[in-house]
Amino acid sequence: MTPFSFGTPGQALFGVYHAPNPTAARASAVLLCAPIGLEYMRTHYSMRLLANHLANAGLHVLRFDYRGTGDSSGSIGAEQMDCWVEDINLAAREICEIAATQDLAVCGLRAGALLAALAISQGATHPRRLVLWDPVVRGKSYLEDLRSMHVRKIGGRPDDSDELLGMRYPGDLRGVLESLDLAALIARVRADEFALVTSAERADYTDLANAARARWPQARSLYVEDPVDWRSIRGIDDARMTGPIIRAVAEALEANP
Amino acid sequence: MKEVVCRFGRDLHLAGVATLPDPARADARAPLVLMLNAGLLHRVGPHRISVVLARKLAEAGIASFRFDIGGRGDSETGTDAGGDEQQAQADILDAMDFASRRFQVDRFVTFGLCSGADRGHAMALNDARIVGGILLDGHGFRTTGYYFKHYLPRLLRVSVWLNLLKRKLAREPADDVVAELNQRRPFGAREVVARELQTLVDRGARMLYVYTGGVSQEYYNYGGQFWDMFRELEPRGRIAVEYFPESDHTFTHAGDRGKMLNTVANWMRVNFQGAAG
Repeated sequence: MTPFSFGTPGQALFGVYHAPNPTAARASAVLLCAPIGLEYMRTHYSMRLLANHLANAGLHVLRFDYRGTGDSSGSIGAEQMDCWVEDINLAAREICEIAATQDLAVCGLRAGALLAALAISQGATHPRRLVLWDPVVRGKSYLEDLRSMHVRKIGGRPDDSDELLGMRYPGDLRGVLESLDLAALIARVRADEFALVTSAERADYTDLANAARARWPQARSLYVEDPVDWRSIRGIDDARMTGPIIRAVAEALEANP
Repeated sequence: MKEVVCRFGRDLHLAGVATLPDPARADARAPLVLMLNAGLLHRVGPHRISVVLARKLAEAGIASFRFDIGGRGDSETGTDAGGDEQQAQADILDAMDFASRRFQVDRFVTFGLCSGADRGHAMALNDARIVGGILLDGHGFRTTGYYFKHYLPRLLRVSVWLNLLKRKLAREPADDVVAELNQRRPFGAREVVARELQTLVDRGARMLYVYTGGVSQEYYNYGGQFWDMFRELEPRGRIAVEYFPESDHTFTHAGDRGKMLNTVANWMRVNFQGAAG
């Protein structure tokens, strides 16, 4: 693991590069798009495990923090969604440059899946493969879940901030999130292959899988049971995902073309 | 302000980020704040508290270094033998040695929540370069006042007695109130911790303890409890204690978090940049 910063001064992003196992190295790169807010914290270790798994399989892997999150520069503010889309495009260029390849796979977890699909649909990044892991399918439902969890977590106390579970969601960010529907968005995604990996069987995942099959007839959809519950505040600060689902996501990303 | 991503450690296995004030603003008198992992979380801290605090301190001229001990966050596990706690202490020592060389500092203040607070305390006992500690939900011991406040409201509730009677008749195990009280972090003996604290105070170290309502079910539930726990400590002027009864353990509420961050930044200013520094 090599931690480093990249991007323009004043707007630097924090990243961690996982170099491929030299005995299995191939000219393929993977960009991991993390969730946001509290889910970013609770999935950090799982993303590290996933990155290690992929690097052991011979892939160049980049994890990074969006602006206003983690160790990256800035704080959450106006036009945040545009910043995050720019960050994903920048990170995609960075890992392709490090790995000296154009063969890129992108994996997004939770809101990271929504952001990745949005960035790719706008055309600056063109991965061969897109893998979405327990994605946020409808931004509106996601915000409703966060709101309900936030109220329970702070014990129903008055709160005049624009935060949900410790992260700011300014009005324009809420507005953009509320308008996003992954099942509609993937029709515009420019990727050659698609896989969906989920830890639960839910109607919105089924809708997404159906939309994906309409876009990519060979689209894969895997269900791997995992105890993680994205709508519960129980164990919210230290929950991790288990080995089987991390391995399933890795296998979806590392498969040879 | 400048942020520097660093790899360091005896096996080059550790990762961290230093936040340095602009040279024109840097306060040479101030120690560097060493930010420790909170439980299993990586160095960013719950709700980004370590990052926000680091930038706030840099604005006031104070440098900080947040890093992951081996196996946490973005740090690899070291290759040397020894238990987890021994390795953690060795990693903190590595961070101090690295920061001393790289950023020309010779005094440190530890900042830690939960197990981070415990590790900061243990490290301070072993290394005189640590001149202060900020402990969020650090060690605590139940006092008579704690039990009184914990049990009295329950004893006055009719439902609790009815429940107890129902369980008794059904021969079910006792109420879970006692069970929940038995699940605590291992703080060791109160007398030992009191002696350790006295050692630190005698050495001139300054300490800030912040307790939250998040540990009220476990060990701390009223404002004056610290001084009931450690009555023998003298002089008291080197220790500050704050109690945030409404806050949860990770400062989820924006108001609690802002208040905590201001408390820490002000305490640093008064103790290490004012006359006391």
